[in-house]
Amino acid sequence: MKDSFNPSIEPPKKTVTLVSSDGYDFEVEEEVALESQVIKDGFEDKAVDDREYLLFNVHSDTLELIIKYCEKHVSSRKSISAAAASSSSSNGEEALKEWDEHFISVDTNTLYDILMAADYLNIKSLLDLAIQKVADTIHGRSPEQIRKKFNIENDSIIDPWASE
Amino acid sequence: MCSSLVQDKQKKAMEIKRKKACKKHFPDWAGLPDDIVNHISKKLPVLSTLSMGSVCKSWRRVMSEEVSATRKRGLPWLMLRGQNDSGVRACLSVLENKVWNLEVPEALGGYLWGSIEDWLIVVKLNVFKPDMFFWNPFSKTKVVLPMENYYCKNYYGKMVLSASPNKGNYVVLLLGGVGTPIACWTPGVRTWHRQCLQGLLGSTDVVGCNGYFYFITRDFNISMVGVKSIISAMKQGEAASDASALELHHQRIEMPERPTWKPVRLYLVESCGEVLLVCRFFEDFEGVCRVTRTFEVFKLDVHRDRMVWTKMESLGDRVLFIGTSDSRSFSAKELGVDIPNCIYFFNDFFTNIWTEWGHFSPSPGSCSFEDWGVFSLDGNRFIPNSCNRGKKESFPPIWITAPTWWYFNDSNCKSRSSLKRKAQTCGEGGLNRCGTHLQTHLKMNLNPHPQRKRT
Repeated sequence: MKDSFNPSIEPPKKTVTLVSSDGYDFEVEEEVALESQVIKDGFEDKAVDDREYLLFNVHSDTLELIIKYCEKHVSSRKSISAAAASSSSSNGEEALKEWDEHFISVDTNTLYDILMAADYLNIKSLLDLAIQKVADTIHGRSPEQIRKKFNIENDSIIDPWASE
Repeated sequence: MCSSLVQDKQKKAMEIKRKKACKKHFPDWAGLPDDIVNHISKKLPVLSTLSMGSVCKSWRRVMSEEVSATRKRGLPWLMLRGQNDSGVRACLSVLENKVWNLEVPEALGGYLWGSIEDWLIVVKLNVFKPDMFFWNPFSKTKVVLPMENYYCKNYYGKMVLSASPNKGNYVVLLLGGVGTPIACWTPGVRTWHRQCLQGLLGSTDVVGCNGYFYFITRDFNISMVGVKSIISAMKQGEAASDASALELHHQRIEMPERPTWKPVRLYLVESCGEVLLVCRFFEDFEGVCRVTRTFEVFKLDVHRDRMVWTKMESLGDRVLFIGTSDSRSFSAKELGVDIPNCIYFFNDFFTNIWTEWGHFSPSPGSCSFEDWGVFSLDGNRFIPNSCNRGKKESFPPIWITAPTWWYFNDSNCKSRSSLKRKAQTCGEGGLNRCGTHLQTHLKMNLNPHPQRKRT
């Protein structure tokens, strides 16, 4: 494990298997999976050959996106710290922000799936990103427009903000 | 070890089979977990939280629990005056651009003198039992004040508080015309005191800020009095209370860019812990009245151990709502509106010594004209279509802050809606017209830069 801190010696990549709710296996690098706080908690206690996680609440379509997000964040973190170590200027953080923005520009159904998965897997940065996206969608809209956007039924008996 | 692994695998296969059958679920936004709804609402400015809270019951429930504790002050409303015979007062929520008819049974037959935050100052002139109290129309709480002598009262035009009546230790000041001694009171003291602040005659406005009252004179100098020292002076009793016991500082304030234009009306505003001076300059309008010409804003600064009025070229994110009774400052970003660097002003009288019930006050419509709108310090101009000049219909309205928690209270919603219908069928005549009037005016102002927005 200690060797991993030495960049000259690359240890063999350890992988973890994530299984989606609809039964697909996703083999991902350990550090990518560890972006999820839920997986991280108690990770060390698990036997090495049993590093398989059944994600009952995450559909394969969503899991694919989540993995894509985590992979991107792991790799950009590495390149940002590498740039900082060599004190070369880098706009890595800016680029990642832009990437995030593009990543979360999805329809509301996908946004919901990402939001719930990020909550379930406890991936803080992704949860924040999704919550901000929902807030941005709500901002400046009337209650009726919000309902329409998110397909929510109006269950209020009286709508105090309805204009006459 | 090996057998348990096999068992696990079997279990997994079964689970997967089951899950495959139910496929992807349909998004249930209304059923979002409470903490996520909370998180979302915290990212939103005040106006958007109101929209979000009325989308569905479940969101509303979560937000009503959350806002009461953490949410900020609320929204600026104008409350119209002159409806003394009604237990319902028309209010205009300027940023929502809505008219609310707020139930204020306690103010029936009384006058609204002014406000502080979400509290109203109510005066009732019953012959046998005159009454003066603070009334919070949102939390429906009351704080009774000792009645000021009937004759004296007519000389007081403005009441100022050091803090909201929610807080225990606050001081109330009565400010009158030239020569009228300032009266003060604090909870736990029986009567108004007039001796304490004798040295402060001739102040035109007062504001409470950071534990001090700031009094301004016509020549822009400031006197500061520690609120705590007023409280202890009053509690020591009438005999002992003289100016020597007070923490009092008279300050000559330097003013490099002293305004020369007259006439001017001065407003002191507390804003983010700073004292601002808003100068409202008037000019003659068609030879019949005075209307607002322009505004200048100064900030009380400390420069090399001396106090200075520094002219502010911009208010930044701040929006000021200035008025006779209680001016206030908001953050445009926090509110969620694109109106930074603006001053909302109203057709205040030229001085603040007139009251709605006073013998010397002008009767509505007799000598004053409407003069209200929005002024932007960005380019020093009035927002187009925002200004109204015409005959005034009633005593100028007062600002009041509607707390956000009130919007999320379901029982309030119900009573509000029924009240609204009732008020509309009754017809409130001139006052409602005034409300609609304001509404159309503000509709045009909500987006001061429509072209820019569209792109």
